[in-house]
Parts: sequence; structure tokens; C-alpha cells
Amino acid sequence: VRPVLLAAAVVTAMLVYAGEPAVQNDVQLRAMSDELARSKTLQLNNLDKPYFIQYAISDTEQVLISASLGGITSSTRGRFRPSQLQVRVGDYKFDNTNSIYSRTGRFGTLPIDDDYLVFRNQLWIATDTLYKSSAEQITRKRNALREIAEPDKTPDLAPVKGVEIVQPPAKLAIDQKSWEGTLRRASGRFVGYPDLADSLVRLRAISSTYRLVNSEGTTIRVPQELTDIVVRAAALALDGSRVWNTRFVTVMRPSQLPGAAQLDHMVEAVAAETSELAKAPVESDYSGPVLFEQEAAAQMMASTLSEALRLHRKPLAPPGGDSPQVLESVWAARLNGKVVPEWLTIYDDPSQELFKGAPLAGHYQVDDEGVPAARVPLVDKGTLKGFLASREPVREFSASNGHGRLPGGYGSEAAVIGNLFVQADQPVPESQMKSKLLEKVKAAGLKYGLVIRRLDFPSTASLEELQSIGRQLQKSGYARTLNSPLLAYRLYPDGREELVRGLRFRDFSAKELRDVAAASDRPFVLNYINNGSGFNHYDSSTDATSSSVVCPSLLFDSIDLARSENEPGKLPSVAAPALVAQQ
Amino acid sequence: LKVCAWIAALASICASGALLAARAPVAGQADGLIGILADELGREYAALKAKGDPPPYYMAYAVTEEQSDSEEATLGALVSDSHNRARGFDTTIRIGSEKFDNYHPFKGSRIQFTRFTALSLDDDPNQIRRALWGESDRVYRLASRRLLQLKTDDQLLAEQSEKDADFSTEPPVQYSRLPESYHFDAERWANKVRAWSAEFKSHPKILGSGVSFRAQREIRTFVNTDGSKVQQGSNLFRLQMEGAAIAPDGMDVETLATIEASDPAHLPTDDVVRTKVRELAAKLDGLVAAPPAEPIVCPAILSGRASAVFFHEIFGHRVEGHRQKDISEGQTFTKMLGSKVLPEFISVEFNPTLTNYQGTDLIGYYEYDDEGVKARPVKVVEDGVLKTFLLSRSPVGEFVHSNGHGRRQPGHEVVSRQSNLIVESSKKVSNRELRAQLVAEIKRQSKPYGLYFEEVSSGYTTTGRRGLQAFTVVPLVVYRVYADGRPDELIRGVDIVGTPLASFQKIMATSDTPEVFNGYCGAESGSVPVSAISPAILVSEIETQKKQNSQRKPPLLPRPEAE
Repeated sequence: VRPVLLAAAVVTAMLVYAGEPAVQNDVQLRAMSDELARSKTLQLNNLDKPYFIQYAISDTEQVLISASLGGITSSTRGRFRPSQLQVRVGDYKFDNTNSIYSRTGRFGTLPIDDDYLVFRNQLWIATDTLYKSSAEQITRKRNALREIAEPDKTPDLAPVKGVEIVQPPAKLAIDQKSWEGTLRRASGRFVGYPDLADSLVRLRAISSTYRLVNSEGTTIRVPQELTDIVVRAAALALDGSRVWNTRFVTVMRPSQLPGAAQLDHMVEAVAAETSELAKAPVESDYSGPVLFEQEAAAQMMASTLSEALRLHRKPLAPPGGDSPQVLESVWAARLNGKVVPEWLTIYDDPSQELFKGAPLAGHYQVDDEGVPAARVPLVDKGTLKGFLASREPVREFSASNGHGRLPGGYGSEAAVIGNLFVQADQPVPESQMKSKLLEKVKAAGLKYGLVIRRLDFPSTASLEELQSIGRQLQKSGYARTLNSPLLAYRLYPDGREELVRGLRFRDFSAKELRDVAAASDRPFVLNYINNGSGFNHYDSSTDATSSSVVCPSLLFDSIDLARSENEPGKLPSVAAPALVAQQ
Repeated sequence: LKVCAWIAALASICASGALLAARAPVAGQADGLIGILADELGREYAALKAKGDPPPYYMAYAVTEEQSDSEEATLGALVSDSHNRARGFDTTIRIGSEKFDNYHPFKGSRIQFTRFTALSLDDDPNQIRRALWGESDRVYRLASRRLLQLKTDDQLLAEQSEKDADFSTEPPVQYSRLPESYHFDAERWANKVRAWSAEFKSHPKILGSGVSFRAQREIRTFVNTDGSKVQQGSNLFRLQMEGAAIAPDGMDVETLATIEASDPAHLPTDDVVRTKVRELAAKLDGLVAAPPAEPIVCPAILSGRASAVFFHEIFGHRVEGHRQKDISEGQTFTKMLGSKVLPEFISVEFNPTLTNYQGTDLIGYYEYDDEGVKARPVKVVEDGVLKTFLLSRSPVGEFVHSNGHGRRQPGHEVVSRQSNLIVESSKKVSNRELRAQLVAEIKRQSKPYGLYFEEVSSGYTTTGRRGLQAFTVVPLVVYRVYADGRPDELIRGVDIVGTPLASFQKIMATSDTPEVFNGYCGAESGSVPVSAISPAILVSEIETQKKQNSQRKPPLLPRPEAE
């Protein structure tokens, strides 16, 4: 549990550190702010001057440990300081970003020694390079603009009043050797399941101190931490198709991770579920009522809403050129319209640290652009009231609400979920959700209904599995779909459940949320690592943040699922090698 | 296209106690691994032979374990401190027969079957066996599909003029020798690279600079169905120093130097390294101030190190055996066996069994290649006449056996690659005499000047038919040499151009002092460590062009000063 004491300490620290001394005592902040002050004077001939400069550095420490069948396959510890720098030329209304010529200003890593002069030296070179390329970008953008009859007049950056938030730096507290032992033992429990084709247990602990200084007077030093354990297994069904299953625990600090006993339990559960999946019958097309239970409901919302609640801005491009495809939110044109039943309310509130005692991974004080986080009403009694926003203005939304937490495209920051709450006014007791489903099954004249308990979210699909998903998506022509179910059960009228495999969703987006028929009275807290995409593949992003979705079980009148065209191969010609019991 | 990135290395022979090699006996763990590999290989092979349709006729597993520790600093501040240990393996399965199998080249295309797959560091039989099993299944499927496709495609082809077999038979070998383990004192090395990198502080024109040290221990374990079991490895300790700047006209200039040793005791003393860093920084300052090169065709001397790269690039790559079989390659030398390809006073040998040359460690050394074939010296050119090629287990014409040059970076398929290249000359003169001959040649050709290539860093060579039959070696430090006695003049931005076959014929003489160049060479089978040894050479004609200028403006603001 995230200690409440820390919050008090943070507040005290803010009071103590507030003002000049905070910067003066921190070599990195001092170097950043001194070099930034000097860089404001940059100007090349008659070209535009910088109007906004921002330096952000993540002082990061990370430990990654992977284990399989009782052996450590990798264990690394690293320290690095990646930077993200911005030098914008022009003004808030029109600058060098938001065109196809704009780039995001990454600039390698800074020294891990706190050396004032070397920091300034590196920032000096980086700022100079970025300034020159920004000046070039705005010129190209202006040239492109001349060819456009009615250009988008939306400003390029939302102004923000400077703030100073200085908290104590983060420190990665983890006993790597001891966790190696824990993972070795936990992964060794899979030896008891020789029918599984592969399995792994992986730990990732990242602790960073995020420092940001900008020319609006903002100075930030905040801890950003995320830690997770993933347990994954895969097996071959008798028809040769591959099934897999995953469980995650996502927290902020290693101290919040479950103990060895709970980890063992996770491994046993994943192993048992996967073995069962391999023997489960294949479900062909299904169209009918679906109950997303607990974790699955929160996963469905996390995936669907991360796309629906974020507006995309189309980068300026000259006509006739290859302008990039932007997949608009399905709710983009629905502001003040009804998007879900009137008994549902959705809001995002990063300021919440706990929900009924459970820590929320999407808690933060200030976002990556230095904008303090606030509660954002998104859907009020069924009506769409707003979107998550960064400092990138999109259409009529011209102010940040403190959700810029991942690098976006074309020089912007992307808005992502913090702590997303889905609340129902007239909840149904959790215990009655299944009977509600059966009522609908009966009304529809079906033999059984479908209960989904887990989705592949964040997705842990392997390379081959990803390729297969990609091919299917291309073939189906869907613009959007939802991550496939990992655990789906037929629920028969007599209450009997039967695990099935091989299902995927057809076209699925936030539009489906209009058809939510009921919500339960038991919210589930899903903490997860978020790379900003709806699919959210676990491995395929270098940038990630942590988010939470708090959502009860949800019942839908009708959802379309299809048999996944997982090309089943022949079973291996060679039997799996026998496993030997661990000492 | 094939990219060959060489990184320069400076020859140094000095003792240093900075890194203590722990002379511990080889851990017994290794036997555990080779036993697990051999068992699983035997089981898989027997089962696939019985059930596979078509069955394999050869299988191999190659495990690579690497420990690496590195420290890197710029201007006195540590930039990275990294320590890694990883183990993975490559899988080879051959289906069909030695005459025609799934590796058969088709219209120049080769496919990759192997995928470097992580293995437990713990010698844990469960994880290791399961990983071998999973990969064997994947590779077997891919290989059998490929063979079927090749058989169909081959029938549609007009007959190829030569029908070499795809795989040679070689005797099984058993060998085990592991490199010594080392103890890495991270703080001590961090402080050293901090101190060395701080030398650049007094050179305000240098915009980017760094010094790094990397220690690495690699163990390769190989088993195949011929019954070979090979365990070998190497240690590499490597210092790298580099700097970059912008000349007043916006041209990027850079310098780079590395020092390699197979034993920490062979590394130079701290003072020697500091001097090297200072020299490098001073050379870079000199380059910033130097006049830019002009395009010219003129006589030149390539220093021993520069000509080592020259031979590696324009000669070495073209005697790699697999290029002779591939119709998409230029096959420059394919039909020239027994003919003169170099001046008659030049011989070229590849000798992977040499650990050092006149005191400099050679990083192209190995005892067995990556197909488990014993390394041996191969005389490719004798008195200017082409005698053979560098061979893996892929036969070429009359050469039906490997000569121990099948190499790869883990995660790639093996092809024939270079090892330690040695250029020998029977027409050698002293360096002074070589220079006198250059001056005479400049005069004879009535050129305004000749060139002296002191240091080169990287190059690439295109041997594919679609590409230009040209090479580019990237010179770092080049001087104009005047015939009238004026002092040599440092210039910047020189690029060498020209056609390789022609340039071989223009070697007039060599010096009598060979120099060593250690580097990493990248090609189809990944990046492999290689060495080249050559005396300085005098060529009657070399064509150079001016390097492309990025025209970057130097920074607008002055370098930040102390608070």
C-alpha cells in the first residue's frame, strides 16, 4: 500500500523546497534552468526566435529479471538519463509543431554523474541543434500553408502558468538477488505442468525522477515509478493451435509487490487455466449477450476508452502529398451527445491515490508537461462532456487538463488515462449479473451466453501471434477491434460453465458502450502499464506510463465475436523433453 | 549490399595491473551445459530422423554466453555504467542431402532459419531442453517448407553452370578450452574513463567526445550430429576514444581510436592512454583548422593500418567463398583461380590461429570456427596468384572442404568470413625509401602533390552486381605530400573512390614494417571481430573525392562556462 505518510512528507517537502533553494540544491535543475535562460537569446539571422523552451530529463534506474522453468534467462540493472527537449519557434498560435515536418525532440541520454558543466554543455549542443531544426520546420510549414485554401487555425500550444513542484527524488529500492531467487522458485512451479509449451515469469521495476524546466517558469521534480510482474504460459491444443494466458500485478514500487506465496498462487492459476484452455472446445461465431466480469470489464474499458477519450490532431501537410492517416476517436463528434446509458458516469482523477484501500497506479500530481492533474468529467450521466487533453490544442479544446504523459506525434504530447472511474447509478449486485445474462440468453432464444473473465490486455502476444493477429485484422477490414479474450466461458441456463477457446471480437469500439445493459455494484481496480495504444502491447514500446481503470462488471445485450483464424499448425514431430523435478 | 564497419585500433604493448584477471579454473558448470545440449540434440535428431518427412541429415546447436562490463564518460562525467550477462543459442537443421538441402542458394536469396533464443544462465536442464525443443520445431518446419520450395523452383530454372554441393563432410572434433574469468572493478574503471575523457575539456572546438572501456568474456559451446563438441571462448578488453567537431565551412570532422587486448595485462599504462587521448584531441583540432580536400588522382602512400583496411575491404571480401556461388554477386575472382590478381610481390594469408602479431593482440583469432571446423592458416594469394577462397562448410568448385572460415554473429546464419588477414611483400623498402619513391612518382606524373593516408576508420564495399564495383574506405587523417620539400599538410574530408581490380594493379612497392588493424566487420552473417596486418603501400594512382559536407553551422552561442 502506498504509504499515506509519504503524501504528508511530499507536502512538507514542497513547502520546504519551494522557491529558489530547490533549484539551487539540485545540480541537474540548476544546469537546466541556467542553460535554458541563456538559450532564450538564440537567433539565427532573421529566422524565428524561440518562444518556448522545455527541458525534461528522466533520471531512471531499472531492474529487469526474467525466469522460466526455474532458470534465470536474464537479469539486468541499468541507470540512464534519457531526455526530451523542446525548442519551439514562432508563437503559441503558430509554431514549428503539428506539421508533417515536426519531430519530437529526443536527445540521447545525459551523464549519470551530476556534473553541472557537462550537463550544460550537452544541453547547449542539443538546444542549438533543435533550434536550427525548429527554424527549418516552421519555414517548411509556412510554405506548405500557402498551398492550403482553408488551413486549420487551431493554436499549436496551450499556454500554462508556471508552477514549481519539487519533491524528493525517487530511489529504486529492490533486492535484485533476492528477487532472482523468488522468480526462479516461482517459475519452477511450471515444471509441474509438462503439457505447457512455454512459460515465463518476468519482473520489471523502473524508478525515475522526472525533472522539467521550461521558459514559462515551471520547475518540476517528481518521482515516477512503476513495477510489474507478468506470469505467462502458452500451450498447444490438440488441433495444433496455440493458446496463451497471462496475469499481471502492476504497482508503483517493488515494496508493493505481492509476496512469494501470492506469486506462487499466480503461477499455479496461470498454469491451470492454460492447461484447461488447451483442452477446451473451440467456439465458433457468437452473437449474443456477453458479461464482461470484473477484470475483463476494466480491460475492455481501458482499451476502448484510451482511443475514444483522446482527440487526434491531423498534422499540417501540403495538399497532394502523403498526409498521414489519423484514426479519429469514435466520440470525436459526440460532445454533449449521449454516448452511454444515462446511468453511467465516467471521469478521470489522477489525484486519487487509493480506491477503497487499493493503490491506484495512475496517481500523479503533475503530468509530463508540468501541468497539475485535476479531476476531469468525461461522461456525465450518459452525456459526453470532455476528453483527456495535453497542451496540444485540438479543435475547440484549447487547454490542458493535465493528462499529457507520453510522447505524441509531430512534436506534441499525447493525452493518456490516469485513474479512470466508471460509475453506475443503479448497480446490480455482482452475484446477480449471471442471472441477468441468462435472462437475456433466454429472451434471445440462445443455448448459452458468454462470460468473459480476462482479455489479452496489455497484450503479451508473441511475435508469431502478433503476425497472425495483424493478418486477421487486415483481412477483416475493421478499423477497430478489441484485444482477444483469454478466458471466455459458455454459461448454460442450468448455471454450468464451460471454458472455450479461439474467439476474437469483430468490429469493436466505444460505440458498443451504448448497449451496456447493466453494471454491477463491485468495481474492479485494474492497474496496468500503458503505452497509449488501445492494443497496448506489453513489449513493443519504449515509452510507457502507469494507469488505472476502476470499473464494475458490465453486461451487454449483444456483442459479435468470431472464431479466430489462428492457423493451426501440425503438432511438433518430437515430443517435449521430460521435465525434472526441482530440488 | 554489405556494410563493413571497421573501428580503428591502436597497437600498444604495455603492461598494466589495472585489471586483474582471476586465474580461476574453469567452472564445472560448462560440462553441465554441453551434456544437456548433446542429450537434447541426440533425442531431437533421432526423433526427427524417424518421424520427420523429409528427415534431417544434420543438426547443430551453438550456444553463446557473454559477460560484459562497460564504463563510458564524456568531459569527466560518467555517461553509462553497464553490466550484462546473457546466454542464447542458434539452431541449424539441414534437410535433404549434402548435395541439395534447405540452404541451397536460390537466385541469390538466402534465408535465415536461426533466431537467437535466450537460455537460462543457470544450466537449468528444464528451461534449456524446452527452449532447444521449441526452436528445433520452429526451425524444422521452416527448413522443410524451404526445401520443398527450392526443389520446385530449381526445376523451373535454366541449368546453372556450376552445381556445387550445399554442405561438406568434415571430421568430428572434441575440444574444450574456456577463457579465464575476470574481475571487473567498476568504480576503478569509471574513474579512469572519467579522467581520460576530461582531457577533452581543454579543447573547446570539440563538440562531442567520449572515452569508454569495455570488458567482455564470451564462451561458445557447439554440438552437432557429426559428434563434434567444442567449447571455446575469448576475452576482449577494449578502450575507445572519439571526438567530433565542425569545421568552419560546416563539414563534420571526427577522429576515433581504439585499443584492444585479450588480457588486461596487455593494455597500455594509464599515462600512455592519456597521451593517446591528448594526441587524438590535438589531431581533431588540427582537422578543424585544416583546408578541405580537393578531388584529385595522384600517387599515394597508405600507412600499414590504412592499407590493412584497404586489403580487407577490396580484396578480403571478394575471396569469401559463398560469393563465388551466388550469381547475384559480382564473382570478381570466381574464374581467376590460378591467375594473377595482385602484383607478383604480394602474397595474402588468412591465419585465425595467430593470437598476436609482434606483441599486438589479434581479435580475429579463434581455434574452431562457428561450424566446429578447426581453424588453420589459408594462403589465398601466393606471389600474386589466386590459390583458393575462404571456405565454410559450403563447397565451392574444386574445394569440397571447409578451411575453417565459417563464422557468424549469434542470431545469423554462418557464411565464409575473414579472420586475421596478413599481407606479405617481397618488394619491401624502408619507410624513408618508400617516401622517396612517392616523391619521385609525384614528380614523374607532374602532380601538384601526393597523399599520405595515416588513419582510416570505416568503409563499405559493394560486391553485388547491382552495385557499383567500387569501394570506399573512410580516411580520418590524410596529409598532402609535396615534392618540393614543403612540409606535409593535413587536410580534411577525403573520400577514396575507384574500382578495386584496377587499384590492386597499382601497388608499386611496400614498406618493411607491418602494422595491425583490429576491427569489427559487418556482413551477411553479422558483425565478427577481424584483424588485418599490412605494411605501408605505395600506389601509383588513387582517386579521391571531397566528402559530402553537411554544412552544419557551428553552435550559435558560445560554450557554457563555469557558473
